Amino acid sequence: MALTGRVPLLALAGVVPLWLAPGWATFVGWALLVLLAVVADLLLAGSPKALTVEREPLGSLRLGSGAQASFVVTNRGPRRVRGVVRDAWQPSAGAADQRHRLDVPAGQRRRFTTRLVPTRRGDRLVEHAVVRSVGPLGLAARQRALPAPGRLRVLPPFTSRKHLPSRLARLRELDGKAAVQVRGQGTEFDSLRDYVDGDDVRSIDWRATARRQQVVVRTWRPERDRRVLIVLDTSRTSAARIGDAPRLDAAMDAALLLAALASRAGDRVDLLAADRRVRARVEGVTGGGLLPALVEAMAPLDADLVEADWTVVVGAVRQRLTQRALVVLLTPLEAAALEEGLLPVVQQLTRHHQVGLASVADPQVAEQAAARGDAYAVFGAAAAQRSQLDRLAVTAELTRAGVDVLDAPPESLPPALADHYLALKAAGRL
Amino acid sequence: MTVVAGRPGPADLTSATPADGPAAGGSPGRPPGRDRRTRVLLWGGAAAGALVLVGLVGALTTPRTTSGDLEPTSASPDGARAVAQILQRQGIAVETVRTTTQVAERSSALRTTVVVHPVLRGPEQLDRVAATPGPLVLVDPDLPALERLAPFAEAAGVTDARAAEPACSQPSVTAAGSARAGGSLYRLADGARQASAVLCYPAPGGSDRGSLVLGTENGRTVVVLGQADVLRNSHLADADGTAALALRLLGTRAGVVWYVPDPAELSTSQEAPTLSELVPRGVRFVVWQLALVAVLAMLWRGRRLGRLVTEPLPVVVRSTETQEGRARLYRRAKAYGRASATLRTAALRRLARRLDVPADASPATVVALAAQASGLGQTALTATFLGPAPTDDRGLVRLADEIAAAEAAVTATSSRPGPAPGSPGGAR
Repeated sequence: MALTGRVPLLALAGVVPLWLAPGWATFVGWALLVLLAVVADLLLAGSPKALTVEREPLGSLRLGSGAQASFVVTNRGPRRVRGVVRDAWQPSAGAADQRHRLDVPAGQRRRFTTRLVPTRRGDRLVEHAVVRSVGPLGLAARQRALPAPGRLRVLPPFTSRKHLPSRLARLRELDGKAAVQVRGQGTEFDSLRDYVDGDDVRSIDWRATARRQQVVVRTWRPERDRRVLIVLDTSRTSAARIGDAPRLDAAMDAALLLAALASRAGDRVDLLAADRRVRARVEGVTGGGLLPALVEAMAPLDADLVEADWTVVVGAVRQRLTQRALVVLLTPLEAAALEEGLLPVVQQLTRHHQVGLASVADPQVAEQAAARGDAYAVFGAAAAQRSQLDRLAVTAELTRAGVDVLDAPPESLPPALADHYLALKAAGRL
Repeated sequence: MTVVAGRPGPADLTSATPADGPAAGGSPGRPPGRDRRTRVLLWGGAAAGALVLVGLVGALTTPRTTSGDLEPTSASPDGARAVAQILQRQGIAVETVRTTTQVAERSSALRTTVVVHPVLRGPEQLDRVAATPGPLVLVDPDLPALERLAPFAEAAGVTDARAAEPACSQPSVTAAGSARAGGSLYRLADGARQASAVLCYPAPGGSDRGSLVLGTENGRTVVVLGQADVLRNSHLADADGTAALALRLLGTRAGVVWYVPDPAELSTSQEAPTLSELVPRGVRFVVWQLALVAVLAMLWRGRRLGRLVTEPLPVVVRSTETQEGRARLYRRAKAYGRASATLRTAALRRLARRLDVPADASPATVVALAAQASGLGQTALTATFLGPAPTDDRGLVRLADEIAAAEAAVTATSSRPGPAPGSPGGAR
């Protein structure tokens, strides 16, 4: 039950008779009148129990775009239902206007649409729609929450997509489609073709030249069908925020760019998200299905406030990889967490695989490290430089163990990781 | 008084402050809760001390005498201290009361009740005075008091004050002789002439008006005194019989109840109508109705359209949190040594990278090479990077500036581009 603004107005009108004929009888009489009107209105209002709400299925969308969430209200009761219906989405679903004017005659149905612009990644839920059915006098309403479950999956935005074309162009240069090729350890023979001016004389195949009586060069292409395993650390250190977004989101962005690039280069890309246990995995998906599978797996992930168990993570990685692969660990370069967790077990990975570690750096640290002026700022700078030194120390230890370390701010980490991949590819180190 | 109030009492200060002394302003190591408690205690103690001081000063400076018209303790010209003291010296106790209830309590057949200026007393209060058994002296009463307490007299205007002869047959008055008279005049009421009422000190115009009336009411003597000067300090020492008259009027019994009406004494509950009695009936009901409207409006606005929707909020941790915590620790501990060592190490690391010195080179080597590259003096650079740690804020800031200057000098002269001075490693 709910009252409308007309009830206090009606009660206010009672001031006139009370002024003209003051007395308890008038007071009680008017109160009874208001009560009677409210009760009558309630009895005459269409029952919200007779309504059913069906929600149209919603797909998924990238963070930053909008969606239309529609539902149909069917009135199975004998009376018309007028009033308000509220589509009770979670606040982070970003419903601009949840309330809709409701007017469904008996036996009919109406469709309503709520525009959603989600503000956070993950699953945004709705459990019910609330109907308030106002009586014919507009004094009182019957209210009921009708079950109408729904889910909108909000995917990572993949803002580093813009770096993909330039990296693909670099990949094509490597790929033998361009004229200049250098033979490397990890490249394989592609084809023979006629020499054209500008080709490297070292790539002339003398035996074929002798056969063909024309100068012939060999072309090479990088290896294909290598494996890339991206490990996403979802432990507490990934929960830390840089600007407004957690480190995990920047790491996802970098992972998506690397996966897009590597899958175009013909490599097999797998994903593993883990902290103390494996939280999500994508395995054996190739071609066009890879990116959707990745974002779908990443969407519901949030950093947990637990310490990463690198023994479990390394074990899971080794279990999945039989041949040599590129293992990219997307984890923050936090000295304490890595020294105790990763360093003791990282040798198990570097012995068999090419291991890279990509960390989301905070540009604020560098800013604070350069702060001068008063003692307050200098102490802050000393603390910042201390943490930088710690990071350098753990970086040195990881490098000694055979891990390539990348440490870059959120927006430059994805291209840096892609470039690192391309460099490995060109050098044939995969 | 305000100056005194602002200064905390020294005795209370020491009792309120804990034993660890004057550092109550919040030394850094102390938990904030205890700090606040100390502050509350301190302020409370200061306030209590100020109150005690104000009270003491007030008590000390308050005179033993009071001021006020016809006050038995007032030594001012319009007071009545002289007559009260003379009466007391004669063994007649003078008791000052302020309310009619006190009058009813204290008065008896053996005490004379003096009613000074009974103005605007309510009927109940006058009734209480009328119920007293002893003789009554009314000093300059207003009309209601006169009607209730001395119906044998009527008010008959005023005249100038002057000395006059009694001109009546009452022995106690004629014995006093010429005295201060005038002031309010009274006349005997019709029907009272046959009674034992006597009019004395007649006004110069006609003999039926006088400033003193003696009569009997309820079986006791009631004196209506129109000239209050008779009791005042200023005229008691007059050469005529004023003092004698006063003493004869007041000294007939073993005690005097001196009633100085307190204007603040409430008359009775039924006389002052409450606010609710004053407002019209309609207004009261309208107010009730408006209250009802307010309740209904709350019900209208208070009803939510469906229950709250839960939002699973993500963890919010700022990435620089540990680093800021460390900075605060440095500040609190004033860790000049640690902070300067960190600044130096980081700067040397950057310089070594820029000058292509292997990472395991000794700091002295790096400093020497930096001096060579920048053209700065080696002694100055050695002092900057290898000298003793600063011991105060200014020293630390100066050291940081020197390090920055040295780095800038090396960067300016070295041709090789290197990482920004802010980050020791940069992205690698």
